[in-house]
Amino acid sequence: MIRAAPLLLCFAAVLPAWTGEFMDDPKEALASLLPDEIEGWRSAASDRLFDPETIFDYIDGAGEVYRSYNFRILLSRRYECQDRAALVADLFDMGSSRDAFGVFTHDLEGEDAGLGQGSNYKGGLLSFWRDRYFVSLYAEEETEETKRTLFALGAAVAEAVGRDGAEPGLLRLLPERFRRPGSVRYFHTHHVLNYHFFVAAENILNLGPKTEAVLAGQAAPVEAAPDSMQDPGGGVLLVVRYPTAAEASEAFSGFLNAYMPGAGPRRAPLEGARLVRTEDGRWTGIFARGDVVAIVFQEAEAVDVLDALDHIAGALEKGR
Amino acid sequence: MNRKPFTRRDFLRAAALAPLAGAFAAHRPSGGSTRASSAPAATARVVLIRDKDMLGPDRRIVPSVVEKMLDDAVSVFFGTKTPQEAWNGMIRPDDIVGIKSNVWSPLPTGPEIEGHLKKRVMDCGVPESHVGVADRGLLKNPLFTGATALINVRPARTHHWAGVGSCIKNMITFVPQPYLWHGDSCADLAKLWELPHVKGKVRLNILVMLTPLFHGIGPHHYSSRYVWDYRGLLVGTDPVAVDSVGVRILEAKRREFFGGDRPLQPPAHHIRYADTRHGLGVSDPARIELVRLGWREGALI
Repeated sequence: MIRAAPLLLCFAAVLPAWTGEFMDDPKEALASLLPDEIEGWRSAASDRLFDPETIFDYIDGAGEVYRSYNFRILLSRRYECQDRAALVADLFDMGSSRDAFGVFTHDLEGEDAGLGQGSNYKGGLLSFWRDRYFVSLYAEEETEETKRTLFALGAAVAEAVGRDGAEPGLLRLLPERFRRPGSVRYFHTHHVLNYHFFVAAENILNLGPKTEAVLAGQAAPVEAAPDSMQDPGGGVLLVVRYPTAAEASEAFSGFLNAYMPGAGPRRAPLEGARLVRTEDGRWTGIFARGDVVAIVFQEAEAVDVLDALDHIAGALEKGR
Repeated sequence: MNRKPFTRRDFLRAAALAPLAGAFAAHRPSGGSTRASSAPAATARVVLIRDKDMLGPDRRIVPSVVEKMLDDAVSVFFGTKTPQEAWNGMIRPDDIVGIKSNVWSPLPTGPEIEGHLKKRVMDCGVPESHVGVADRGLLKNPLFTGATALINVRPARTHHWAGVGSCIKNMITFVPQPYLWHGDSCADLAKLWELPHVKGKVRLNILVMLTPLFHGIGPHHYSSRYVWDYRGLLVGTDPVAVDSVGVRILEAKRREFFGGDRPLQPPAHHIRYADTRHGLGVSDPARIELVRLGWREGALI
C-alpha cells in the first residue's frame, strides 16, 4: 500500500493530459481538445491533419515557420453557423512546451487575450500557447460576435489542454530590462532570427534545429507595434545555446570574423568579451561561456553592453 | 569561399552614407550591382488601371468591367488600336500557353480574370487544348513544362518570407521545394526566372490589385481587416517594374492605415535585387514610366 501511493500521485499528475497524450491516433488526440460546438457554431466537414511534409498544402510558405519549430502535427477544424462567418481552429502539437512558446513568440502583434500561457488577439485572429500546443483561432470575418465566440472557443481549448508547460530555460539568463512582454522571441534557425532582426545574409552563427536562441529587445514605446524590432531604438540581446561548448566556440569565432573583425578581447569587467562601435555610433558586444554565446547589438553605451553580458555570465555561473 | 558575408553592419554603413534613401531601398544595400556604370540605365513602362465599378456587392468581381480593364491596359501598354492586336503581338497560334495564376485561398486570381485571359489567348488562334491555367503541379503539367509562352497573373499581397508576393515570386511553383528559397528574405527570387521552364517565355505580367493584402498576421498571414478595395490592375512586360510599383502602393497603404511609416517585414528586397543583382528588370521608380488609366481617387501613388 505504501508503495502504491507514489504511483497514484504520478497517475493523478498526468490525468488532465491523459486524453491528449495517450491516444494512439494523433488526429483523435488533437480532436479531443476541440469542442464539437461553440456558441452555435458547429464543426463542419472533416477535420484535416497536416504534418511537416504536407503543411505547405495548407498554409503556404509560412509553413516553414512551424517546421523550424519542429512541429509534429496540425489539426484544422472549421466551424460554421448559418449566415455567420466561419471560424477556423488550427491546433499545433509542437512536441514540446519550449517550441509552443517559441512559435507563439514569432507573431506577438495584438492585445493580450488572457488565455493559456500567453495569448494575443488582433484582426479576427486569436492565438495562444499552453503546454506543448500552439492554438490559432481565426474568424473569416471579424465581428463582435465572432470575436466573442473565438474567445469562448479559446477558453474551451485552453481548459481541455489542462496543464501548463515549462518555458525555455534560456529565458532565465535574460537581464530584467530585456524581459519586457512583447519583446522576447525564442527560435532555432537563422531565417527566423533575420525575420525579426537582420544579422547577416549567411548563417554566420551556425544556427540550426539543434540550437536554441532567444532574441530580446528593450520594449518599444506603446505606440509602436511589437514587430518593429528591426529598429527598436534600444539594445537587442541575442543568446544562443549550442549542443556543445566546441560549437559555441566556433560560432563565437565565426561571428567575430564576419561581424566585428579587429575587436580585441577585454579584461575587465568581463574577461574575453569583445566590443565594437558600429557605423551607427552604437555598441555591439559578444562573449562566449561554455555552450552559450551572447551578443548585445546597438546599445547606446558600451557600459550597457558589458552590463548585460556580465549579467548573463553571472546567471550561467549560478546555474552550474 | 572567402567572400565576406553581408551583415547588418553593411546595412548600417549604407544607411550612414545614404540617409535620404527611400523606404523601399533603405532596408539593405544591394550587395553589388551587375549593371556596368557606363551603360545607359534601362527604363520600363507600367500601366495602372483602376475602375471603381469593378467590384460589386460582397466584393465580387464584375466580369464585364474587369475584362474591359484588361483590354484597355494591354492596348495602351502596347500602343495598339485594339486589345486583340496587342495579344497577336504576344502570342502566336502555334504557341503552347501557360497562364500562371495563383490559387492562394484567401486571395486567388479568380476565374473572371483567368477566363478572360484564356479567351484572349484563344482569340490569337491557339487551340484550347494548348492553353493551361494553373498554379500548383506545374512540373507535372505538360502545358507548363512544354509551354512556349507564359502569362503571369496574380494578386498582390504581403508575404511572410518575401515581404510581398507579386509577379517575380509567382514563378516559385516551378520549383519542387519552394521553402528552399526563403534564405535572406527570399533575396534571389529573380533566379526563378532563369529556370528553363520560365526563361524568356513570360509575355505579360499582371499584378491584380483589386483587394490587395497590405499586412498579414497568424499562420495564414491573412485577415480581412488588412485588405482594401483598391480596384486596380498593374500591367507590364517587366515583372520587376510591375512589382516595384505594386510594393510602393502597399507601402503607401500601410502608412495610411498605421498612421506612420511601417516598413514591410521582412523587406521586399528581392525586387531591388532582381534589378541590381540579376538584371531581370527595372526597380528604380525614377526609371519607370507609370501610365495611369481610369479612376484616380485613392490611387496612393
